[in-house]
Amino acid sequence: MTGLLNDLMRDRADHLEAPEVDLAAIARDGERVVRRRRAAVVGGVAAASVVAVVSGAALLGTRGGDDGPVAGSPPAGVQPLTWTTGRTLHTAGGESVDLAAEVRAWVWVGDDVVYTDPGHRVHLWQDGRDRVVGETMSPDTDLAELVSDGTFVAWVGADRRVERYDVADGATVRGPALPGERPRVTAIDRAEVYLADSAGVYAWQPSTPSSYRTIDTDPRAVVLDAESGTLVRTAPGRTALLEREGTTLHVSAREFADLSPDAGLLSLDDADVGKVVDTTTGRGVTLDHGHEWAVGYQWLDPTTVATLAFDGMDDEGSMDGWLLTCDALTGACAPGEHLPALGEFQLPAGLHVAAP
Amino acid sequence: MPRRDPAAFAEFVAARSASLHRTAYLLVGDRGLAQDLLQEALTKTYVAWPRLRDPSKAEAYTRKAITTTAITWYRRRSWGERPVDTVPERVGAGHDDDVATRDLLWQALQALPPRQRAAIVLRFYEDLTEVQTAAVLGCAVGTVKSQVSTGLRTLRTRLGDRIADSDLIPADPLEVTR
Repeated sequence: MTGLLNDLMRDRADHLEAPEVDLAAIARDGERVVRRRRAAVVGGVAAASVVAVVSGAALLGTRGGDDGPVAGSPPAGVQPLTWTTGRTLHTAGGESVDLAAEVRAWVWVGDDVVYTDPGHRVHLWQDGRDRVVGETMSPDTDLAELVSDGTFVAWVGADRRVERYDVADGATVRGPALPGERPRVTAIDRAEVYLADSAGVYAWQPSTPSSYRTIDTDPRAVVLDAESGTLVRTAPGRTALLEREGTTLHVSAREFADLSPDAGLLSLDDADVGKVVDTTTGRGVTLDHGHEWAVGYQWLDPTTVATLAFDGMDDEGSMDGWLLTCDALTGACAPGEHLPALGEFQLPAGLHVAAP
Repeated sequence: MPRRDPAAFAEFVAARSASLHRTAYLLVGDRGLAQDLLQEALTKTYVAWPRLRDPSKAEAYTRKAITTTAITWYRRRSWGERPVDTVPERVGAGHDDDVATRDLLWQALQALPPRQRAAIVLRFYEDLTEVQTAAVLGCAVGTVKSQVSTGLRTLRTRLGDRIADSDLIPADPLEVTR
């Protein structure tokens, strides 16, 4: 017996004409959503491509007293996962230290931490002391505010001129203002800083501080990362995941790619799939992370990549974030830390991860 | 995980959009709104496509997106009057009486709060179990029971003495509560 209610629903529904579905609009709107979500969590994280040399132990050691060694340390030689909430820096072992101000975006610079606060002041946390060493222009959310390599950290200053600061001696070098809108740092390789704005893509060598080199006038062809002389650039219009031309790797990824310290491996997002690709052979390994989506965002040693993973990505308000460590050679990932809600944590990636 | 494959997605849409459209229509009671609802839900499915490994998962995902999106629409728009395609003119005798009763039931169904209506559509049209319905609605099984119970009680009240309780829904309790 089906009942009147059941009969009624079937009768009404069965008399419907076939729907007209606009597939082109679905693809267009869907890709926009995908781009926005990717940008919200990984845009610009190539800034964090350097290995975190200490990532917590020395920093936490500066607290003094009876704190002792960091608990829950990862395997020898592999740096622990780190993140901040508010003004507190956490490590995966459960240790934490309070910095001097709320952290908007941050990076490791050797043993030290450089971070921006909500007022866009640039702080250096070094040997347990906090110093303001600069000021950034009001950056767009999802874009890198800080990039670091070795003892250098760079940002675009309040006057729109690029600045490179050396934490070893406190020296600041200022470059020229860029010609276009939305100037930003995108990568740094040793002393050389890579930038982009609405008019193009540039390299700036502080040894000749008054000029920059234009790499491309297509602002989409941004330098996503640079290590040991190897550049990773977005290749507008190309569909191949990775193509090598000399020391430049062209990737189809538009938002993110992260070179290992020796430039032998490249972590990237391949159409929503987190992969690590051998930059010589082109062979890739898919990260076996067990979550809806993940991408390796920071190299903890030459073959171990810190990975940001999410579940529940259909609703930005309830996205559930995790930090994992993944073996870049096998793709195997170890369970990691459960993160607070989007907007309540920041990764050592140099950009501000905003609330939805 | 598979890439976002436009051809495979188009194949899924061609195969399943008519069925999904019917569910959408029962939830919103208007052909135009149902089409918009289907379009929006399919966009969500497109975004999630790389992790929906097979068509059955994609269909279940889209059905859930249709349901939750419809509920959200009504919550945001705070619609008091529900759009309906047909309105009964009057209650007559015989066949006309049957038609009028069905129209009245349709109106009453569309006038239910969105979660109650969704629970009833999922249980009695989609033929989902209470557990499956709870999963689609993102609530506890007990909540499904109470939503269905309250919704059916409202429908019975709206219909008055035009039909017996046993004519409204299946009489077999096993069929209803599985």
